[in-house]
Amino acid sequence: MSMRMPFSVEELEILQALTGVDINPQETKEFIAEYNNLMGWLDKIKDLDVKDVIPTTNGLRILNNAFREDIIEDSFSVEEALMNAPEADGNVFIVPSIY
Amino acid sequence: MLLHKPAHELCELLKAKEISSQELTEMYINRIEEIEPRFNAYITKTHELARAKAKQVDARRAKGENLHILAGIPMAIKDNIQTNGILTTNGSKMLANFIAPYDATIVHKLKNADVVLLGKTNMDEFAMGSTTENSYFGATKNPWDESCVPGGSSGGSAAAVAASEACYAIGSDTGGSIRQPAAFCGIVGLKPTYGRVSKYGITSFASSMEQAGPMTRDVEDCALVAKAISGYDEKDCMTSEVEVPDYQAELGKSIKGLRIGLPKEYFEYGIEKQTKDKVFAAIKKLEDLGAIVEEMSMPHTEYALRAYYLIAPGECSSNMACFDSVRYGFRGGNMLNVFDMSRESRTLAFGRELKKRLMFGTYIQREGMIKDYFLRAQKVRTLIRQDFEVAFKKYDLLVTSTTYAPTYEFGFKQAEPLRVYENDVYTASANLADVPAITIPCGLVDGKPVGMQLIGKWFDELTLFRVAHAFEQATDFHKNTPVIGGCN
Repeated sequence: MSMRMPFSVEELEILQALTGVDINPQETKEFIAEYNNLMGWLDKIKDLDVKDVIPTTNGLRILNNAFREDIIEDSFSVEEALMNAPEADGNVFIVPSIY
Repeated sequence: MLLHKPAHELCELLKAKEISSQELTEMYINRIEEIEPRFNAYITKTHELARAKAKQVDARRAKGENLHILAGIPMAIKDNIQTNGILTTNGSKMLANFIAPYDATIVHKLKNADVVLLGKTNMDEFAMGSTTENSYFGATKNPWDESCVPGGSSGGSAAAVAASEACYAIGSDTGGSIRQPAAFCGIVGLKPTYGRVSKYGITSFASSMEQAGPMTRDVEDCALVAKAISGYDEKDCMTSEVEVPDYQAELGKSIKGLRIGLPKEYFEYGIEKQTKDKVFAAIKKLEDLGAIVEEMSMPHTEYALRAYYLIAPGECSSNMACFDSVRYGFRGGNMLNVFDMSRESRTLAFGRELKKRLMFGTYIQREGMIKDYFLRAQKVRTLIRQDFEVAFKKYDLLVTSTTYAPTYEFGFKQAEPLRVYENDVYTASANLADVPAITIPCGLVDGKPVGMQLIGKWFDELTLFRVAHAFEQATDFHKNTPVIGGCN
């Protein structure tokens, strides 16, 4: 069994980049302590032998795709689609530069 | 007192024209205006819409139209459920101004039943939490003791029903978010079988486990509301085509001879003595009513909560990626480029608990981690499910406590985070195994309610209602109401 990555300031910086949220230095310190505490408790899950067990990924164990006929149905109007936009103009969403 | 009457009794009064929906609606609006500042159960109030709906229902009733049993009865909906044209904030700054552009399927069903919506209830941000302290709109207080949490994440729904600020409410439950607050606030709450109720229009948190369900004054209301919101939905491929029976018809039947399993592991997690005594007294009552209760074992229980606290943050970290502040949601901070804009908006909009879970859910799915943690938890989930399969070969249902103790004071979570997580041990297994579970009040400990949980077979809500109703009819616990402003 592999060793888990320790919670360090560097690891938390990677996690912040992956999740797209930033935390402050005080939160970094607190999260490291809380994660270590939590992982200490969660690690018990490794005691179980699960070698030949099939994972459960959804409740109904549905393995089929849900298809429907490709029929045009009512959809949002432009106004509805844009009504919650932080910034919009005419029929487009406005965002800062994408590069 | 009219304020404390369940929906099935109000329905009779409405039918007999002893009261109008408009009178009922005004009664609840007055109640909300009077006590809501103390409890903060609602994020958004929709009183003008409620008045208009009540007027319309009264007019239709006067014309002799055949109306749904829930028609004209004022209720509330948790704020992670989309309501067309109405704020749907999810308890988050991210969606503080978000007006849902469509109805969730359950809202559509409730509208077809002509219910009167009083407002959207408070919740932990994106349903992550078990105290309602993590709401951007401030914590909800427990009507039984204002210094205590109402539970969560459906704490606003639970408090609204307990304080008679709504006749009943809809909550959602991913690891206990209906049942734990229902127990803490002394009401009935059902997490239906996974796939029973459409998730279309409910903000995704842990998609493989969550279900919406009723939070009500008594079991009959729970059955009525469950019937109204259940069923296959082509918009949610994770709904089942298993027929939804007439739950109400089953109520009142004897429970003599039913086999009930008592999983011993559930009573080994530091359950407080007074709470245990109340639950065991309730179990004794089930025996008096003719059920056969036997101690049994669910061997993987101690791993269930750990699996839950790996799967839930793992799924949530993917689901939360959609909040990028491009097409909707809060936008703020540096606008230099779209990636910085999104990251800074999320940083400013998301609360501490949400960030903590997002980062943790990402951590356990990192290369080198996913196999030992996230995938392992999914395998443990299979073992937990197998425990239930074995148990239900011998027993018709299982009985446990809903929580290890009654509600606790605000701030306890910061001091004892693992203890708060452990509170979910009684409820999370049902989400992992996808089985239905109901909590019903079974007494007071130091003036605070505690609940008994019944866990049923897949799609067998019927037996849960039957047993819960038999217990309720033989006891008076559901008639307890908190003392608010000097009167019950």
